[in-house]
Amino acid sequence: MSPLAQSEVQAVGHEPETATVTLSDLLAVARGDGDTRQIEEAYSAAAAWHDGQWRRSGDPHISHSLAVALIVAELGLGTAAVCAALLHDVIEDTPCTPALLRSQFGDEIADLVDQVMELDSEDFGAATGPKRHAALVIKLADRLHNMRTLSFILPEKQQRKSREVLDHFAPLANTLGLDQIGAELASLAAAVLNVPGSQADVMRFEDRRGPGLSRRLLAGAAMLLPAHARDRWLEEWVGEISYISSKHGRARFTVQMLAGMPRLAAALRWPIRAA
Amino acid sequence: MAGVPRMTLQVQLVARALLEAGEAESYGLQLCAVTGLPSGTVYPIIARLEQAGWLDSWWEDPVRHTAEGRPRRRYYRLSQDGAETARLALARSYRSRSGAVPGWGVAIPGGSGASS
Repeated sequence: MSPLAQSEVQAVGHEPETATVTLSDLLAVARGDGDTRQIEEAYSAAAAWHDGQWRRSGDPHISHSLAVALIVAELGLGTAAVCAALLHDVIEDTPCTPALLRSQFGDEIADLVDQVMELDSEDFGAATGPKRHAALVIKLADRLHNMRTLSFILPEKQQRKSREVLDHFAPLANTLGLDQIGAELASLAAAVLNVPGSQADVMRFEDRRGPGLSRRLLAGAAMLLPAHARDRWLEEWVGEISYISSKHGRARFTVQMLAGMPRLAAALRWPIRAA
Repeated sequence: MAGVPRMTLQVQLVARALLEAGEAESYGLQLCAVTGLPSGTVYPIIARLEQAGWLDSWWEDPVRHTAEGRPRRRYYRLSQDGAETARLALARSYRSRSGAVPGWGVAIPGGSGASS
């Protein structure tokens, strides 16, 4: 390989693939809810329990807890739900016991974590109530972040998870009025189940539902961006799409943007990287 | 003084397109077309360059787009500092690729094309 070709490969390989959420990102969004001390405490506990555990993406497990909590906070849920989102895996994946969790964080958060664990995707339609609503939203946020980082797991598992999403999670999101989450879940799952056809899927859906679908998909994916930046970028893309005359071109622009959203989120969250 | 993001090949392509546009305004879709890069690559680079202080950006004058009944566009142009920094960074990237064996820091007579 010539020196030029080698340096090309190295340069291309350095683009970050995932955007890691930090505690300050979470607190910036959740601050509107008042006291953030409990969230910081839940973060410390989750980080301690998950210490030494890693995601298949190579990120520490706590990065997943933070990402799920950020989605929950951005959807406007309160402190208890954000804390439960941070702690949603500690009972199943760490030596932490339900009693320990209850003694440290009280009944409301412990009940929520319990409910999230007990939720069965086959049974999303059962009884409702404010607590159950929060548990369902945490479950959705959990699956959404898993779908965003799905490329790191085995193909068979990707397909199984994606089918579950189309059958149960995306319809649940729509039932709860979380259309953007539903659209992003559906587009991520459709891309896995028909990988070369993901662009064709968007086109086919556009035929059925009109050109607003690209907008909805972009709006869903833009949930990954910091809240303050979403409107500007979304308006820009939706404007650009309106200038693309072919359905094929609009679908291509949209699918490429969905794929690039984690990189944009990373760029917006970490303004300058070392040269 | 503008900061310098990591000069990947894609960043170099976008920076070169912006330099070639000079004083003329560019927009995202145009940069995708000129560089041949996907939208999902171009917009993160735009964001990075903007945050590094290379790019000025603004919404299109409402008089123009409302008169034509179309959505407003976001325009970009290299700032004065940004243009200077971009030129230097591109030159440095070119030199580092063409003048040395990666990892050895050994200059190759005649630039690129050396083989082991």
